[in-house]
Amino acid sequence: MNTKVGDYKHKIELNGKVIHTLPNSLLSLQKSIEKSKYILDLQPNWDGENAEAYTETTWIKAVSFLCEFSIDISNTFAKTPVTPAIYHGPEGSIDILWKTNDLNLLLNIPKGEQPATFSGENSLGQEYEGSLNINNYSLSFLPHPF
Amino acid sequence: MWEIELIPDDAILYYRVHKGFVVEGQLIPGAFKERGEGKNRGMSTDWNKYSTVEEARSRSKNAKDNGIVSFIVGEARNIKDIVVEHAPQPDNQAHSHIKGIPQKKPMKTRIRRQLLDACTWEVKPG
Repeated sequence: MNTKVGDYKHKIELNGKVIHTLPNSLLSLQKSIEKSKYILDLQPNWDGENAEAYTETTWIKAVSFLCEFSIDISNTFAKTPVTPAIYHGPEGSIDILWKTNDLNLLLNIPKGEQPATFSGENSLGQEYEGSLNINNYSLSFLPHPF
Repeated sequence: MWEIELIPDDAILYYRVHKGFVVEGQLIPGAFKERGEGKNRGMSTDWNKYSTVEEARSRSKNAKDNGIVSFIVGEARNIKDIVVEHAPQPDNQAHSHIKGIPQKKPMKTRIRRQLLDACTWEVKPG
C-alpha cells in the first residue's frame, strides 16, 4: 500500500516509525488506533483453538486505510467521522466497527491481498454491503461514517 | 441417538464465547465462526429446551475462560441466509447449529455484524 503519511500534528507510530499522521479533529481516532495495538500482542492460540497471531503488515494496512479514509471524509464533507473501534478479526484480519444509534458499519481488512469487505445499515433502514480495493477507492461508492 | 426436532422461533440458543473475543467488556464481531466440515459444519450452540446456561458453559474445555451469549431463534432466522437446526450429539441432546456464515466474503462480514447485534450476554467469561 502506498500510504501518504501526511504532515498533521498527531502521529501514529509503531516501533518508532511514523505510520500516519492525523489532524486535531481526528484525535479520538488516534486514541482508538493506539488502543488497537493490543492486536499485535495476541499470541498464537489466543482463542484456545489454535488461532493465528496478527502481523504488523495487516495492522499497518488497516490503520493506514482508516487514517486516509477518515481524512478524506473530513476534507470532503467538512464533517468529523464517527470514531470506530478496531478489533482482531477472523483468520488474521482486522475488523473496524463504527457503531452509533444511527449507524452500524463493519469493515474487514484481510491479511492478504484480497479486497476489504463492508456491511452496514443506518437508522433509516438502509443497508449496504460490498468490497473495495483499499489502495484505490472512490469515496462516493463507500458508506460515510458520520 | 436423540431424535432431531424442529426448533421453534421462541426458543433460545446458547453460544460459547472465549475470553479472547471480548475486548474492554465488549463482544467483538470475530466471535462468530463455524466449525466442522460438511453437514456437521456450523456454529455450535445449545438449545435451552435441553440445556441451562451453566451446562452450556461447562461443555467448554475451560469454563472460566468462556462466556455465553444467547440468540432468540426467530431473530437469528431473520438474518438472511441463516438456518437454525437441531443437531443432537450422543452426549448432548441440546446441541444445535446456526448455519450460514460463508467461508468466503463479503457475506461473512454482513452475517457477523448481524449476529453481533442479535445476541445478548448471559454470562461473561471469568
